Amino acid sequence: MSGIGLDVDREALFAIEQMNKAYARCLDDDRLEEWPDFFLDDARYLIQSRENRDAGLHGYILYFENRAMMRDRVKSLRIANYYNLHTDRHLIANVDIVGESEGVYDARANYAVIQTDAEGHSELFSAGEYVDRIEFRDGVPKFRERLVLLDTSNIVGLLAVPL
Amino acid sequence: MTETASSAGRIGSRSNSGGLVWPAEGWSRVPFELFCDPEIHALEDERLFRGPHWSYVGLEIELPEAGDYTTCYVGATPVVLVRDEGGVLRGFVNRCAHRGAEVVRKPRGNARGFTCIYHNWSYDRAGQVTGVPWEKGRGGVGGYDASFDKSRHRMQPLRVASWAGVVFGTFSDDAPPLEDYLGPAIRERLSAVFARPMMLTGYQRHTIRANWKLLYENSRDFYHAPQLHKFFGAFGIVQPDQAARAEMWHEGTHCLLTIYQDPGAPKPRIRLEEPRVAAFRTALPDNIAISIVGIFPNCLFTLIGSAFSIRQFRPKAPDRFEVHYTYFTYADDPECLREHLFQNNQFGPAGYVAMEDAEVVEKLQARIALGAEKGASLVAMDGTDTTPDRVDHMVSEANLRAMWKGYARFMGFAPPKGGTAKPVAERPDR
Ligand SMILES: [Fe+2]
Repeated sequence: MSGIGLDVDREALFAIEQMNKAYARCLDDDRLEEWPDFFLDDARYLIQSRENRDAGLHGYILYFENRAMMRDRVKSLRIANYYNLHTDRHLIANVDIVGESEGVYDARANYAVIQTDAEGHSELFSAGEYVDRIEFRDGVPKFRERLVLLDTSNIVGLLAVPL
Repeated sequence: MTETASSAGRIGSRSNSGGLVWPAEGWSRVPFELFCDPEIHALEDERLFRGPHWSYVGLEIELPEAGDYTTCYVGATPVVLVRDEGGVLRGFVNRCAHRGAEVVRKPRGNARGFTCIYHNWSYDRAGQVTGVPWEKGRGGVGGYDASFDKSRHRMQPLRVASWAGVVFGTFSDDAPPLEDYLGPAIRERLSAVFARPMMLTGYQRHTIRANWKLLYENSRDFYHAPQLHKFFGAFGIVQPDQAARAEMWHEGTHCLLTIYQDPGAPKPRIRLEEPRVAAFRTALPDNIAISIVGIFPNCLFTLIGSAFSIRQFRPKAPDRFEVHYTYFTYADDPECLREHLFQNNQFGPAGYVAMEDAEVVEKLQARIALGAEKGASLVAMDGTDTTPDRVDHMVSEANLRAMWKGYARFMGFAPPKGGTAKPVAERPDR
């Protein structure tokens, strides 16, 4: 029965599920300043289309390889950039641990982000998968890497707020 | 569209030919109809994308081997670009010569030939029919009659030509030679940038719910850059008074925008914690920080530091187009790839200095779509004249006016009557 993951590390999975819920709430509540805290200092946050991934190409829409770059993103969104007025709703499902080695967990999750514009219209903005590497610090899971793998490789409008 | 009594009062009223008469104020006014009208949209496909112009269709580095192919669009027309067994690049319309079905189904790949799934007509790499099932009948019945000659059937060819590894295509026999079409300044810039080996780093698709010309115009709009894009200013990266110039070609519709390094830029109050995102180590022996090259009608190069990209415009409707990005950088210096990954955060649909453009043109489109026939945009910074070949500072919209004048000419629209537009100076000899 291990093929369907019944032997999963339940404690770790619970912690990772809770982290994903907190991550979604953080972004949906527009508490962007707290978003880098889900990551280790030298963690990578990447957004890449499945099309590029499958072709073995970099093609990152965003490429951050430390927490400073994440803080820069948030600062720029706050003080410099104009983007579509909207609210996000992250729906994260199928959170699972698919591997573990020396305390680094490989985790996956599906996501969908519904955006609602300033006039109240909601649309599916992005669908895809989180491909994560996670480590625990004092019992708290932190991202070593979060790769947002876009099924929605054709971005409609623009992508300002992290997925 | 037929002329009606009410159309006489419109800003850009129609002639009987289905064209559009430019506002009398001249090239400093751009009628909103140009961005909304389905007939103008259809006419653009005929006169621009299928007319005597060259459209960007790919980079040679995407097709290194025989049989490598990519697909894209020339205006509304889906095309395939292939390298044949002799190494020659071939282009054809991705539409079966039999019933019009899609033949090449994957965006890119490698193939010996192509087969339409509908009735299994097969094609060689140049799009020529090579096989027709049941051509001579089956079991002694049916089949095509003796007059049918499959060698006379093929997918519609696209003429292709390349400069410095950049591939263009045209459906028209009247397009000038590609070298003349690009002009000396763009030729030189592309040659300089592509003098070293390049590597493909990825693709990006982007849908913008606006008319394609709004972004094409935006890319040469000096005026908006420091006003709208606050990223550079907020982090002290580029100052608005920095030296810049615009050089035009092809009746003002191409534009090579050059912005120079500014060593004397004031120190910013706020810094990026990770300066590599906007560190422009110019990879060339000149002090050019940014080149933006608009090649009419369908592409824009952004050549900045080590983060190179080309955007192919794919109009879908008057109020919707797609931008297909191809990213590339130098292959002979691993540091260039590192820089490219950092710097590319500035560009594309999530880019620090790009996201505002999509936001602005989408919201602009939504406003002008309401009563488009009543309005026109004002392009009168630095006078009302058009400067046919260059502008030497950033405080000008002359390069936009030059573009609209060329666009109107290529579309066959009558020039403004009367008004205040001054005659355009002849292009000086080069
Ligand atoms: Fe812009």
